[in-house]
Amino acid sequence: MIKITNCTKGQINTLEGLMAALLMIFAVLFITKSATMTMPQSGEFIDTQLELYGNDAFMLLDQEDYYTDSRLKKYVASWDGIEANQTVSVSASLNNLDEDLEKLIPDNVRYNVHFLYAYDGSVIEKPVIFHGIPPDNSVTVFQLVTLYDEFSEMRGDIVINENNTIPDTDHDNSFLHNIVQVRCTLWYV
Amino acid sequence: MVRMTFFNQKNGQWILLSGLVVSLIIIGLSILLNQAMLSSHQAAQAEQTFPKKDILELRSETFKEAIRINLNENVTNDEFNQTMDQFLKNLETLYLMQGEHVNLIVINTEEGTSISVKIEFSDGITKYSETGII
Repeated sequence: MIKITNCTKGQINTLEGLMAALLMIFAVLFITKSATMTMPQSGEFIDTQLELYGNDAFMLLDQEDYYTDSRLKKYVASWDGIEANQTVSVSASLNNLDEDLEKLIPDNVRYNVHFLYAYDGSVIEKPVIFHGIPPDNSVTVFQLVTLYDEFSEMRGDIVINENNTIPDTDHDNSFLHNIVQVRCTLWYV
Repeated sequence: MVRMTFFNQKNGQWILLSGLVVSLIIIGLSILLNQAMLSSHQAAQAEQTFPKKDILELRSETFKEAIRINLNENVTNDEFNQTMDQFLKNLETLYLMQGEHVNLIVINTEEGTSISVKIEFSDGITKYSETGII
C-alpha cells in the first residue's frame, strides 16, 4: 500500500506535460501576435488601390506626343477661372474633365481636383472640382501639365481661356506660360 | 517499501525529450512565420513611402518638354535655355511645397543638336539623379 503523498512515480511526466503546455501556449501567443501584422498591410493596400485609380486616370488623360496635346492640358487651358466650392461643384468649362474622371474612377470613389501653380516664388492652389470634404484617409495623386505662351512657337493647338487665372509666370521672357500641378484627392464613400 | 528519489527516476525520459523537441520546432516555425510577415510588411511600407510617382513625373515631364522644345526648329538655343530655366524655377517651387528638392542642369553641346539634361531629386531620404541626352 502506498500513500498518495509518498508516491513519487510520474513526477517527471507531470513536469514534462507542464513544460510542453507552457511552451505551446507561448508559441500560439507568438503566432497570434504575428498575425496582427497583416492589419496595416490591408490599409496600405486600400491606399495603393486609390493611388492606382487616380494615376491611371491621369495617365490616360495626359497621353500626348510631339504633334498633339493631351486632353488634360486642353482642359487646364480651357478653365474659365471659376473656383469650385460647396455650391458650384465644377465650372462649366471643366465639365468634360469631371465626366472623364467619373468614367475612369469607380462609383464608390469620390474625388476633388485642384490646380496648383507657382507664381512669384509662391504656390497658388485653386479648387476646380469639389465633390465633398475628404476624410483623413484620403489619397492624393498629381500630374504635371506644362502650358506655353499663347503666341509662342510652342503653343500648338492649345487655346488658353481668356478668363483663365493661371498667370504667365515670367512675363514673356521665355516660352513657358506656367506649370500646373493637377492634384486629385480620392477617397472611398 | 517503495523508496525512490526524484533524480533517480529514469522513466519517461524519451517522452520528455520528444515533447521538448516538438515545442522547439513549433517555436522555430513561429519565428520564421513572424519574420516572413514582418519583412512583407516592411516591404509594403517601403513601397508606400518611396516617392516613385514624384520622381517619375519629374523625369517624364522634364524630358518630354525638353524634347518637344528641342525638336521645334523655330526655337533658338537662347529661347530653349530661357524656357528650361523658367521650367526649373517653377518645378522647384512646386516640389518645395511638398518638401522635395529638384534641380535641372542643362548642358548644350557646342556643335550639333544634342543637349544633355540632368535631373536631380531629393526628399531627405531618397536621392535620385539621371542624365538624358535629348
